[in-house]
Amino acid sequence: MVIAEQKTELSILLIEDDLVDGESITRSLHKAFPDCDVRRATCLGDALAVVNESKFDVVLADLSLPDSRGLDSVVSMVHACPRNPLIVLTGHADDELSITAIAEGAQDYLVKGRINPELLQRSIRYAIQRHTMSRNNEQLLQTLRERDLLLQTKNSKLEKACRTAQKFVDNVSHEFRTPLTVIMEYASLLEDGIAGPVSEEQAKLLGVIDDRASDLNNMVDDMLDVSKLESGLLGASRCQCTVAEIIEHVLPAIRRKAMVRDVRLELQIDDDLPDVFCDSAKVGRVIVNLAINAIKFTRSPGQVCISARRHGETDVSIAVTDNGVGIPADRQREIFHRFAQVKTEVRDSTKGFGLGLNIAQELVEINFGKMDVESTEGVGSTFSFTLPVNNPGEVTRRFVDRLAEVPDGPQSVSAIGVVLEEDASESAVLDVERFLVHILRQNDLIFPLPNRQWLLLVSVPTIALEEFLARLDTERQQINRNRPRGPLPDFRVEVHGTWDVAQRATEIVTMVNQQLVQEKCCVA
Amino acid sequence: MSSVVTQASQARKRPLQQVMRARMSKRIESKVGKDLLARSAMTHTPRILCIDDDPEICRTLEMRLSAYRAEVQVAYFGTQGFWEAITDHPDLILMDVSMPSGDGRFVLESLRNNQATRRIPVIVLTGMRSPELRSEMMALGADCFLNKPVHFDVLLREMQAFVDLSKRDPTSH
Repeated sequence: MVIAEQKTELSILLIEDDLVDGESITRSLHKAFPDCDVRRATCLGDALAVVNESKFDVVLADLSLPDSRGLDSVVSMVHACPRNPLIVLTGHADDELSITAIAEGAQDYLVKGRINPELLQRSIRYAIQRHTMSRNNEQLLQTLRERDLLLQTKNSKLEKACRTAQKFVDNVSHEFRTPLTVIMEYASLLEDGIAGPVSEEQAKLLGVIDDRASDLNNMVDDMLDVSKLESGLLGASRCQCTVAEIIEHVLPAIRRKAMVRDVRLELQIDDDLPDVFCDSAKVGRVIVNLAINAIKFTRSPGQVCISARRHGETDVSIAVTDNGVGIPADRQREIFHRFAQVKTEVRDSTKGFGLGLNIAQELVEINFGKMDVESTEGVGSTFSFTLPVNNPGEVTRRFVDRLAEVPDGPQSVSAIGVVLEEDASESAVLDVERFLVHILRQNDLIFPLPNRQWLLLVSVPTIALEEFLARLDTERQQINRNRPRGPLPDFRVEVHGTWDVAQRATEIVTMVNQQLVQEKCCVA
Repeated sequence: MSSVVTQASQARKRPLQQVMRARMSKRIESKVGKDLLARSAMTHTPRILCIDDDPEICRTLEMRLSAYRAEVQVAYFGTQGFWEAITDHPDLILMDVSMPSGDGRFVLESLRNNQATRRIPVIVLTGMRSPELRSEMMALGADCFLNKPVHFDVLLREMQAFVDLSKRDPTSH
């Protein structure tokens, strides 16, 4: 970058058709910059010819030339020599013209009668400096644009690669399950004596086949979960759920495994437990993982207890207790790491990947709960986790806390209201909710409000909010095209505001509470 | 085939709510009317259609249900399954999702858009774990969504919500 103050041997092009004015300005120029070299042109055509031949530090141009008048001269000059700063000269003061000339790309505007060496010196220096800076800016902007484009291309390629990889894992796991299903089903079919009588010993062996195949199936589930957790594609459809129902849903599989391994399974679910706010399928996976671990590590006679009780004002705690080997105190944190498994002599052959606990912990965190372990060596272990009760204010508080904790996580949360038109049927309302849940990622939250409304808390930076809204619109159009029953009912999307997670966390909670209260009032 | 397709697109215009209500009442009927069904069970053997491209899966179901008073039909791809359904009117359909020549979505949509098969309960059985697929199939009108591998006792319990399955008399077997 050339700093004007440091250069005194300036090369200047003066375009002026009036000889007297030209002489006077040239004199002033030599006074202002004694070592400067002034080249003169009398019309725009000549000027354009020389500008291309040699380099000038600055161009001074009269606005009224024989072959061009007024702003046209400015436009032509700026166009012809974008690398030279241009100072416009004119016979009379005209503010409007001067502003327009500068808008067209001139650096300064001088009235001929009032030109003196000091003014020229200052004007030329500033013009050169400003011009250099603005060219520099343009270059930076250009680089930025190119980088942005490059990043966008790379990003979309990565996203595509990520989705392809995920799709591949999905397909592979599906392909795994088909033979597994057949193996398990034939084993249990034979065990049940459906293909002919089997001895007690044979039935037991067939039971083992079935059991181990189901282990393999769980490992496939684990792999699927890990790949989704890693790629960030894991969605979370959290909503109001009943604890007993979640447990009941996964119980048959746990019960069967306990039976095969001769483990007594006990169940203690407190009455009058409040409903929780979570993704029931993911919580079910956590219970299965903990229970399988417990069953694996009990000592004969094995005993495993699954319990659920209230935990303080705002949580329900679900615990799985075993009478197993226990975990040494210094290793109790480590077991939650991926692929970690406590070195143990017991049933070495029953080891899985060691993914179970790590996944369980991550799935609990996605559901705004905390995982805990209490264990005494030689006595047994209790793995427990909490889930927030269905209280939107409390859930929002944890949601915001979680966002703040994630390193390089989202900095801000936007509240978006979705309002459905009046005449939608109940199933259409459900379909819209399903669509909204589908659009959200694990770091977003959705609360159904009465009156066919939803409140979405979306954790995208302010700058990407438009992008999110655009995605919502694109996906809506896509679904509308492919939906067998015709388009989804129309809904309105309103952005209520954006909050900084670190600084205005409490405001987000207050806002959610207000929204809910407002809506309840409306209904009443 | 063309007549079926035309019929389907006409049926689509029926308000969804009406369809849902009809399905709900059908389900309630089938549960409430179990005592009534029990008496006619001697004469009516439930017919179950299994649509799965893996013949072994169909076979395990046939073997399992051979101990029950039930008739099992099988189809190995989507369009075949749909045809079996409209010609034979089974009492219950078990169906896979990813199949050649007409996947589960297509079959379910066709079944629900056809007057003759609209009310047949459908249990979807798939190895895919995606919650989106589950909601999608339920929205298309599936009555139940189970993940493979499923243990027969779980499947049996689900089937019994729709049809009356009683064990065969071992002496007659």
